[in-house]
Amino acid sequence: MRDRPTSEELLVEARRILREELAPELKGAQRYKSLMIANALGMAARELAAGDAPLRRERELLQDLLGEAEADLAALNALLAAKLRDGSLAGDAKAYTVLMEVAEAKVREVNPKALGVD
Amino acid sequence: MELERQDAIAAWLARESGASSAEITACKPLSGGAIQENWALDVSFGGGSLSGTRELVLRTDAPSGVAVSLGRAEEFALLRAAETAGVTVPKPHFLCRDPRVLGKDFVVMDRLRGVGLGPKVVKDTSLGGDREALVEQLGRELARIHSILPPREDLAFLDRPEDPAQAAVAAHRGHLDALGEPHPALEWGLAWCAEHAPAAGETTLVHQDFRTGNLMLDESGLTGVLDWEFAAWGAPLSDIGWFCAKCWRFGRPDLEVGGLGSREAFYRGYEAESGRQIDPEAVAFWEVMAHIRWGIIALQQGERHYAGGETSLELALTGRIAPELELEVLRMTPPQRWESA
Repeated sequence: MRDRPTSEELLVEARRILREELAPELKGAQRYKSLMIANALGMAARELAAGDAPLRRERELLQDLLGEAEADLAALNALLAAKLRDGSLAGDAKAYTVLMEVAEAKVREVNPKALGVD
Repeated sequence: MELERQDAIAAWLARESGASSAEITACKPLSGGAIQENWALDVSFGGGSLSGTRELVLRTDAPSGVAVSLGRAEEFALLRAAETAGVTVPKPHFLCRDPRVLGKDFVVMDRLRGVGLGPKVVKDTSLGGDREALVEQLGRELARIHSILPPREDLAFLDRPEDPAQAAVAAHRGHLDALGEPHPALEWGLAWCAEHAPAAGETTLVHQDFRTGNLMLDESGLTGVLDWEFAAWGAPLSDIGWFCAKCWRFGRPDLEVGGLGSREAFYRGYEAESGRQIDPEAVAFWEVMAHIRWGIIALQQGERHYAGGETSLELALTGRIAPELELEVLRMTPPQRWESA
């Protein structure tokens, strides 16, 4: 087993220093870059914290929607994409619910602020 | 830029402008433009058509060209056409196709005053003058772009799809296939678009990136419309959908025209200048398409980082905004919006 602090704990603190202590001291392109790095660290920390749970959930949802035992997520997504393109699931209410849940879960990791409004 | 290059450019500028001399007094790279290289040049001309001291921009293709965007010669022709149609643009001066000068094509145009950067423009209300007057003016500007009609010999290089909406659906499906990773949410949106496309109407010049971020503003208003490299013949309402799409409001979702002002003022300016009536339902269609298009461009930018040999945190992070656009596409196309096909 790995020692604490976990990689998530390391990233969260690294990001805090960057945002709260370093970025305010910087200007222009350097400040912009420091905020991009903070953004990347935040995303990585949230994904580490969430672990595999969102991917397992996505697999379950897709297997159920498509009636497939296939385990590979990329293959399941490719199958759903094909059924949307050929029209067989286009406009389907259950497919929509699945797509919304998966999309919200992704946004929660990449930019949770975007879920806050409206 | 190396000094010998600067000397070659100065000599070329003198020749093109008919000056007895031209001296580059300042030269520095400009940020912005993920695709081009831009340089700010201050040039002192002895006589000729640009006599005196001029603040110019030199714009080249960056080392990694993006296949879908136009080259400098085409952009130069577009700027000329736009200027003639009364669009506020940086005045295009010269096009260089002689590889001996810089090793690649470049254009030289006036350097605009002001700020373009989207988040800054939206936040800093000292820019652009009165914002409602600004968006009304932007409506007129866009209408002038749409007054340029095919066929045009000088713009013969532009794509001309027969049915712009269906062509966009097909093109985006092709882009997704080329990316090689499935994106079911975007497929959902494209399926909706395929079923709800407005009938192909009038074809005009479309800018295809007319939005906050590509509009230079100073204290008094618009100083120029930039970034013409995605222009094509197409559906004029696609430009309105792109500019009004929620994804281009930079933190001001309440200001529906690019985070700058109201739709009423923008439409008023557009309708007055063009004499066309805007069909709100068709604009809504193009707003869905705008999110799909921006989502796909974001994925392509991300791919340039992880597979295109162009390591860049900015490109990498752009790739990761795609889920936000996918979510917005889904929110705009719930099952109940499929019934009215």
